[in-house]
Amino acid sequence: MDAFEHLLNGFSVATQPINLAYVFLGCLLGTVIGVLPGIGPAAAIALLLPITYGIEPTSSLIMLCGIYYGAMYGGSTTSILINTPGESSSVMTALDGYAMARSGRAGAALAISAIASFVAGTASVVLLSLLAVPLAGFALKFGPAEYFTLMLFAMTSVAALTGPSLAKGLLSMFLGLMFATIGIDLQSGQQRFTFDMPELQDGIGFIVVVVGLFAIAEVFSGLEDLVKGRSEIIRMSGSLWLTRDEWRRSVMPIVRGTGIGFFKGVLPGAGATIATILSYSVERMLSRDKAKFGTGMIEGVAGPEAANNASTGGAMVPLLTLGVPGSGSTAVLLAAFIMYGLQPGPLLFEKRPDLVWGLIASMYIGNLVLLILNLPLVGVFVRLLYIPIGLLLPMVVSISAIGIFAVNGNIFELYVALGFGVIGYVFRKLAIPVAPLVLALVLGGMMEQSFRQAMTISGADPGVFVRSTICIALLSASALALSIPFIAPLLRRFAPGPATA
Amino acid sequence: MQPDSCMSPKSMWSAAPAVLRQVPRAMNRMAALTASALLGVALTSAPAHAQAWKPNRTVELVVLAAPGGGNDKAARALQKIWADNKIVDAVVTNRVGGGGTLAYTYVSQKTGDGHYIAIAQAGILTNQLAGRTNLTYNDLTVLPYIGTEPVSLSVRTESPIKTLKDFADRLRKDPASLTISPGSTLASTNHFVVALLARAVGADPRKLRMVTFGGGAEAATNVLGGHIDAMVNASNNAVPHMQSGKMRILGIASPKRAASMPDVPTFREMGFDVIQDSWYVFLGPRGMTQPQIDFWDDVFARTMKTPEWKKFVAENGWEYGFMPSRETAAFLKKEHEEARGIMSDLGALKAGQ
Repeated sequence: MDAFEHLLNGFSVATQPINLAYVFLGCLLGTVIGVLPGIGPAAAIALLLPITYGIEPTSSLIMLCGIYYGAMYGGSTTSILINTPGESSSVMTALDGYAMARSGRAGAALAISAIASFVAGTASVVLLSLLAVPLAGFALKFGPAEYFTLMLFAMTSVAALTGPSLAKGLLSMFLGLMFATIGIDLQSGQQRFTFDMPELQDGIGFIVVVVGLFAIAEVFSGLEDLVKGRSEIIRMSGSLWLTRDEWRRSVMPIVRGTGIGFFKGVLPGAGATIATILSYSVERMLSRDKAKFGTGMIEGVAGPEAANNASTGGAMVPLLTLGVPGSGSTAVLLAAFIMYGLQPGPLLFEKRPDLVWGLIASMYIGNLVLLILNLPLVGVFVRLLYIPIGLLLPMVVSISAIGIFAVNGNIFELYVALGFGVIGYVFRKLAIPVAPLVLALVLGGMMEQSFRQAMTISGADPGVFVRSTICIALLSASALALSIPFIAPLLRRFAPGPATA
Repeated sequence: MQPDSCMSPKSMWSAAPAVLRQVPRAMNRMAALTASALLGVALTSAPAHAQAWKPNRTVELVVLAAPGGGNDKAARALQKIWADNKIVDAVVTNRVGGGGTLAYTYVSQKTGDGHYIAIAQAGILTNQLAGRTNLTYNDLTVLPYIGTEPVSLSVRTESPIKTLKDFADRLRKDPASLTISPGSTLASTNHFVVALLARAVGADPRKLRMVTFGGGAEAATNVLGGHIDAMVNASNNAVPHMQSGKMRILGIASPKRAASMPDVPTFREMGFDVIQDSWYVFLGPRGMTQPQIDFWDDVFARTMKTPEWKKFVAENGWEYGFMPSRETAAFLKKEHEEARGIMSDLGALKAGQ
């Protein structure tokens, strides 16, 4: 097989000692960057670019890509342990991962996220090796109309995140949609809700909101517990490792998360984050214990963690085959290629197979490196939970503040994070779920823009949303997702076998 | 292959986020001062008359884009050239927000301090004209002009539009018949190119059907996928796709052909008098002294002559160009007037600007 032969040659490049060293370095840096909130892979790669100038292109790209997928591994750690997502793509992991940590299963949550990341990361590289060339054109099929229907489909998962009260879930979602409109509107160039503050013209940074709603709000409640003398030390229950039952429950979510992540990764746009949202809601939809999601379900950790890692392999498809970047991180990777005078595209596969396949092969090795790097760290990281709460809370605040400030060097964003911390705390007191707000904030902006782009292109003809097969398929999927809660009980009644869970 | 040089402690620091850089910055400064004191190394070759000014600490090069984006690349290239050639000890900081307003405001407030400079593009003119900020280039000191990127108009290879003339004919018949993306901002210089073209063929620029996307790369994806008809933006968005045979560049809005794509005609050659480059200038705080301005004129004049800068220009499809501060100020004044005229045609001018 052609791809197989190329891949073998790739391995001969990737296993050169110098390249092995760069894979390791990239993965290590990626893990560290993933753990720190705020500073993400895109900024890290951009900052490292100038100093990689003298290095041989293959080695350099191997390292930079290592940072990219390595960051996906690290992002889950702080989500699980201190409810502070390191990247936007690990927000979903925080929902059940942190709940697992609260009930003493932090070790298992960290372990399953490392394993899910490894399995999904490796599987997505396999898919990349096999499907890169055939899938090349797929990303281009998605225009504004297709994106709008995709966002609509993702929005239906808000149902999965509302919790017991629909009204509270909707309140949270509408607030998120409102926050998404802040800033200069792309299509008209007009300012919306900026109150003449230049700081608000580019909208509110997603990671700023997330750090506020999760980490800072957590600090507020921790403080309250501390003052009231209620703070309890979390006890580890059972081993750090997974129980047989936890294994069993994680397998299918990892498989599904990998599929969702890879294909979402292929599409340009906020690939990884949306993939985790979709994966989480799929797992919840398929689960018999829907109500238990958010209280520490391992499926809610395994699925999204698989999805965000699988999306990195997917995102390499349009990058390598078309030179089309799907996200901030891949845009910087594209800049790296161009800096070396390499133009990603079909020609690159022919002209520099050593580089392309060497890079792909290095991703297999990198995933293994990350697993070896991260599994032993589980034991180290869980010790974080033994830090007395009076020390842990200031640590969370300072890590969050550094993370936010380091990105844009903007003090204003620290106040925004603080403001969202207050909102998050109030939400918690009133038992309003924060996840719908986050979801609406991610999807809302893109959904609105792609709707208006599509309408401008079609000359205000809404027919544009049913004109392609992709649109129709996504609209049907949305309709199905919305009707499942009504249909499922009916189906279950007729289902044979042990339907009682 | 130089793994060692890659991971030397100093280069690790230059890769660290802004906050982490504070410490070594102080160390660098001390090292620089010691070096210049001990060895008597003059940091500039400016004429050593009594009032000559030079930085006495690390210079802050302020960028309005996030790391890796747009003009951040140019700033980091400059910083490296300055460090390697011992021209200026500088650090790049990213102040993202308000389409550059945050970066410009930050620099403008350092009144009379020559240690702060910002890289600027046409947004410094258009943001104020559109009423998005009150800050104008008059609130800052104009420093040199360092080059341009050609702005190109591109369609995908399968498009029935073969030439710039085909494109102009479509606009003449019906300005709303084509969907065009100027990248991410309306009333930007990219948008001006199409507006000027529409005006040249007697079409109403306000009727153009413009679609904005998150940036040039996203616009390119939509052109390649056939979702929109054309895009107009910095040519580095289109050149790679032209080279791989997927896009056709109809023309560039430059005075002469670009070195990076000698086969692509200019708008003027095709009979349309449209010139609109994507230029880069530097700005400093208001109230800079003449010796400070002279210092930066000299620094940029020397930088432009380095082989590293010529390499940067060639690799990024820029067009080589340099103007000292005085000429740049006159240039900005002219650009400001032109932008006001076009934005008025587009109906994008804020009343009273």
